[in-house]
Amino acid sequence: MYPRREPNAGGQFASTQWSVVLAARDGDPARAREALAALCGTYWRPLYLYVRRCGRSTEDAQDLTQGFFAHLMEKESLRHVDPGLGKFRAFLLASLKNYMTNERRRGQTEKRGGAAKLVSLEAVRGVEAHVAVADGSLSPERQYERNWALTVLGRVTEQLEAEFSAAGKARIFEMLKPYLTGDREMRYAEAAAVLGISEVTARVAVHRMRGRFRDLLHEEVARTLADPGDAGAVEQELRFLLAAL
Amino acid sequence: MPDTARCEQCGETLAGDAPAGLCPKCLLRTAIEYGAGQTLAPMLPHLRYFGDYELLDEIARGGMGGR
Repeated sequence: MYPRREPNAGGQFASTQWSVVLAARDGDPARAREALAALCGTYWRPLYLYVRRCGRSTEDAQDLTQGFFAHLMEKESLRHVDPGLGKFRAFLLASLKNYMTNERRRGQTEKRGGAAKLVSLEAVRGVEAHVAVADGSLSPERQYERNWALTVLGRVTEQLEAEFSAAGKARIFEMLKPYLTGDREMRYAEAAAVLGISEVTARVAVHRMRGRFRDLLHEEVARTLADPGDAGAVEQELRFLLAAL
Repeated sequence: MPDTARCEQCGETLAGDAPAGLCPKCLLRTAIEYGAGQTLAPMLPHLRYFGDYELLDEIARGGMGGR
């Protein structure tokens, strides 16, 4: 019903967030930094919103986030990175806090721009729409955790949608995606009728869709942990993210 | 004024940043509860007939699946 993305021969998925960081520190600088830039592109949103929640202006937040990523890609700044210390989520926030403290000490936010930009203005504008309606009672840290959870879920949902689209099943994904959230109030017969399939076929499709979502989610979360093979740690992180929402 | 979107599962208001317009809590909760060993059976409460056969109950499991 849907294409599966298999792990590679080594039994591990392509790369963990930590392996990308360590490669940037120890490996081929050009390729590794390209991967790190992609990683920053994925997780910029919770970081940017953290800076905004700390009271910085849109322009400052853009410069700080941008500057932080550029700083992160400097080999020297990664010298003391130790994956054994924990989660990539916590590492990024701690690093950002340090960077902001140092920036303040220097007395100004360094302007970054031009070709070095990793995040488009359009993307920033999209996120800014949520700043005004964000829950102001949450601390910046709690809001960061909530936004991290949303980013993980958004990324996994996009991956699943892309897989369905690639298999020519975009319409099935669109019609059945509400079932990813559970069964209550859901009417399989109606969705099946719209798709022109039997109710049983719709139920089987939802079962597989949920299974695939779960697999992708586990993969994504595992990549942010010190030991991606630790199933217990993945479950623990998933529970943490649920509590953060 | 537009209606506020609500989750059909938990009834909570859906924030504008909900992934794919889905309730993030229910999305994550379902994924956590939907364990790797989840069988199709609970999803098919109405599937009781296979041609001339009627599904009464599962009596054993193994080898080629349920028997």
